Amino acid sequence: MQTVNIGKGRLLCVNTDKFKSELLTVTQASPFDRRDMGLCSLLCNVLKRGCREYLTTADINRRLDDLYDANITMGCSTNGDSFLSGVTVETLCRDFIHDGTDVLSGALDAVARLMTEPLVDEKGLFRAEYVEGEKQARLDRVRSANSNPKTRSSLICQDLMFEGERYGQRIFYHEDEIKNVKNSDIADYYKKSLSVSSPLYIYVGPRSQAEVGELINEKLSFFDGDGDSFCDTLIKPCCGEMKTGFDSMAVNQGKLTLGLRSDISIGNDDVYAALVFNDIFGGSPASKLFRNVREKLSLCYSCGSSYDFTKGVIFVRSGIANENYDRALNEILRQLEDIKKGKISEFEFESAKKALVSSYRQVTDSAYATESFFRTRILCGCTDGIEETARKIEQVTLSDVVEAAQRFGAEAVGFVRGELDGEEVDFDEE
Amino acid sequence: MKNDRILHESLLLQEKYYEYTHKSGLKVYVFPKKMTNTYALFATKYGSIDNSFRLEGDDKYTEVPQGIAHFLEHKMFTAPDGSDAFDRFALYGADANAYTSYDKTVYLFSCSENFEHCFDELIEFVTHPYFTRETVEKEQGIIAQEIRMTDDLPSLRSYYGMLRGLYSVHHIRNNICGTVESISRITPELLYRSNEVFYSASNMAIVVCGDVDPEKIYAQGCANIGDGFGVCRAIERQRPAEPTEICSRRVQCKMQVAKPLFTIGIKDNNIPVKSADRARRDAIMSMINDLLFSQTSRLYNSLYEEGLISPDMTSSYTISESFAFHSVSGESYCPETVFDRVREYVEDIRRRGFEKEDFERCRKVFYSSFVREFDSTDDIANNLISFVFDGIEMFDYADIIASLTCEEVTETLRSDMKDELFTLSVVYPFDHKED
Repeated sequence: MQTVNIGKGRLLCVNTDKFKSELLTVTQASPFDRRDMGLCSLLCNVLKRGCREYLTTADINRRLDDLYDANITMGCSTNGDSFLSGVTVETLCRDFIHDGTDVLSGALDAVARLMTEPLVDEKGLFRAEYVEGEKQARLDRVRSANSNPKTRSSLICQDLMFEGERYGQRIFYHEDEIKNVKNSDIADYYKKSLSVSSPLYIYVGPRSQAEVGELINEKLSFFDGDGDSFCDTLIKPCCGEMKTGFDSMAVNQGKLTLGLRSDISIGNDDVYAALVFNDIFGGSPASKLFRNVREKLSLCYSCGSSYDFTKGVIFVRSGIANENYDRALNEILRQLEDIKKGKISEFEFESAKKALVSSYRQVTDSAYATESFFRTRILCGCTDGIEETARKIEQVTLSDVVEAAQRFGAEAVGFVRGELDGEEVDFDEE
Repeated sequence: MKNDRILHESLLLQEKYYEYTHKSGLKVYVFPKKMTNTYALFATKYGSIDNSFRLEGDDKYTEVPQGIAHFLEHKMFTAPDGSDAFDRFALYGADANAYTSYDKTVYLFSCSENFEHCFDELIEFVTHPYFTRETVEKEQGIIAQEIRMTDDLPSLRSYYGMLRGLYSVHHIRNNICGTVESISRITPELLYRSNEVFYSASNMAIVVCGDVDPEKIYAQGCANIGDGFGVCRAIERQRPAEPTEICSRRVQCKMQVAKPLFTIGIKDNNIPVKSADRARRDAIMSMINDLLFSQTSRLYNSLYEEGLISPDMTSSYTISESFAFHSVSGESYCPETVFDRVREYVEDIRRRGFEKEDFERCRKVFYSSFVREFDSTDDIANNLISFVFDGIEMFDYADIIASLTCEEVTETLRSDMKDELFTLSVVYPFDHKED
C-alpha cells in the first residue's frame, strides 16, 4: 500500500491486467459538516449540467459516449465522521480501443473542463435554472427517502443513536434547508471545493505509476489542497441503554432496524474479531440471524447485519409482519446474547472466518472493490493490505470473537409499522 | 474420458471457453479466467411463466400455481436429512445463492478455494429434490414475507403494472414469486412434478468461470451427474394465445411514494423463431432503445431540462422466445405529459430517421458495455447461461453489433414501434387526485 507524492497529493497505483477497463479516482476528505456536504452534493450536480466546452448535459454525455462510454462520477460520501468529495473515472482499456483514442486522457480532460470551466456569470454565480433544478431534485430525494419504510426505519434508529455526533447526520434533511440555499452559497463553496484537503489519487489498471502520474500532473493539477483534513471518528463504547422509536406507513411489511455500538473500529486490532462476530451474527446465510429468525422461526424473508468498522457500529435490518415485532426483536437480541455467552458452534465460527477470508481475497477481482479497500484504509491510517487482512482474520480465535461481541450492545431500535398489513395494492386499468 | 469438446474463441475480446456435452445431454461450459473468484452455476430453463406443461406423449397438461418455479428454487436447498445446502457451502467459505426469472432458475456459488467440494455440492443438491408437507408449509411463511416485501417496492409495482398493460393473458403479467394465495396451493406433489419435468439433463446446463482446468471440471461433473440424471422426453409448454394488441393503455395504483413513478412499455410482437434472428432483433431493438431513451438522447435531455423527469430515468429492451418489450422508467410529477412527449418523440424519429452520427456513437457504447461484461466471473457466467438458453453463441454478439446499419435500425423503428403498442403504468401517491 505504498503511495507516492504527486503535486500536493498522493497516488496509489494498483497495477493489474485483470480488467478490460481502468479506474482512476480522486478523493478529498473533510470533517463531516451537514451544510458543506449538502452544498458539495448540489455543486457536483450543478457542475455536471454543463461547462464552457460542453454547454449541456447532452453535450457532456455525447462526449463521454464518443470516448467509448467513459464513466465520470462526481459526488460525495461519508467515511466515519469525515465526508469525502471526489471524482471517479472509469474507461475501457487501450487494448480494446482500435481507433487509437486515449479514452482515459479524454475523460480526464472532460473532468477538468467540468470542474474548472463552469458556466458562471461575471459574479461567479451558476445558471439559475441549473441551481433551482438541482435543488428540486434534492428535495425530491429527501421526500422519497422519507416515503421509504426501510430508509425511514434506519433514520429513526440513527437519530436515536447518534444525537450530537457527526456520524449519522443527514445532509439537507429538512426541506427548508434546501429551499434556503442560495446560488451564492454554492458559488462560495465552489471557490474552496478544490482545495479542501490534499487529494488522494488511486488508479487500478495496466498503466505504469509514471504514466498515471504524468496524466494527473497534466490533467488534474487543479486539485491543489494542502494537508490532510480527514478527521478522527468519535468512537465510544455502548451506553448500555436501548432507545426505541416508531413510525407507521401505508405499506404491507414492517421494517425493523436495530443499532449496536462498540468501541472497536478500524485501526484497532480487535476489528478482525469484530468482523468475524458480525459474520456469525448476521453476515451471511450461515449466520445465526438467517438460520434462526428466518429459517427456524419463518419470521421474515430477510434478516441480516452489517458492520461499519469506520464507526464501530452494527445495524441489523429485517422486514417482518407487524405482529412479529416483539418476537423478532427478542430473537435477534437472544442470538446476540448467545454469542456473548460463547454459544458458537465450530461450524459457525469456521464458516464465518472462511467466508470473510474468501471475500477479502476476492477484492482484487473488482477494480471498484480494490479502490474502495485501499481508499478506506489509507484514509483511516490502517496499513494492512488484502493478504494481511485475510491472515489476521484467520488468526482470530473463538475467545477473541466472544470478547469482541461482549463490547457490542444494542442502543436503538427503529420500527416502521406497515399500515396495510398484508392488503394487496390493486391496479386500475383502462 | 471421451468427450466432444468445442472451443469458442474471440480474438477481439482475448477470451475463450469450452463447451462439453455429457452423455445425458447436459451441456457443461467452462470459461477459464484468471481471477481469485471462481463462479459456477447450474441452471434450468424453467421460470415463472412455465405454469402449464407436459412431457411429450402425455395426454394432459399439468397446471401449477403461480410462483412455483421460485418456490421450488427455495426448497431445493433442503436435503433429506433436514440439512441445508447453504451450510455445506459455508463450510468451504463459499457464497451460495439462487434466483428465478421469467424463463429460468439458476443455482450458483462463488468461492476462492475448495472449488471441487463446492462443485460436488452444487450438483448434489440440484439433482436431489426433497420436499415434505411440513417444510413446504414453513417455506410458505418465508415466501409470503418476500411477496409482501416486493409488494412494497414502488418501482417493481410500476414495472409489473406496465407488464399488465402490455399483456392480456401471458404469464409474464404475474409476479415471479406468485401471490400469497397462489403459493398456499403449492404441495410437495406439485413440486416433485415440476422438478421431474424441468430438472432434466436436456433442459439444464452448467457454467463455470474462473481459474480452472476445463478438462478436470468436465470430468468431475461427469462423475457426479451419474446415469440416473437422465435423458427426458421433450417438454411441451402451453402458453395462452396472446393478442398482438396491448391489454390496457393505462394502468395505475396508489402507494406510499412522494413523487409518481412511471414505467412506459412498448410491446414488440415480431419475435423471430430462430435464435440467431432473435439475437439480431435484440441488438437492433436495444440500439433503438438506447438511441431514443438514453441520457444522451434529445428526448431525455429535453425532459430533464424542463424538469419533467428526475435525472435517473432508465430504459431497457427485453426479448425471449415468447415475449418482447421496451420499458422506460422514471419519476415525474407529470407522468401523462411524459407519456405524450415520449410518443410524440418516437413518432417524430419514425418520420425523420436516426442520425448516422448518433448511431455510430451508440455503436461505440454498445461495444464498450459488451467488452466490460467480461471483467467479472459472475457477469460472464450469468450472461453465458442466458446466451446458451437462447441458443446464441455469446461471442457472436460483438459481430452482430459491428454489422448493424443505421438504415436497418431506422427501418425496424418505422415498422415495429407503433403508437398503439405503448402503455403507461403509474404509481401515484395516496393523496393524488384525478384531473
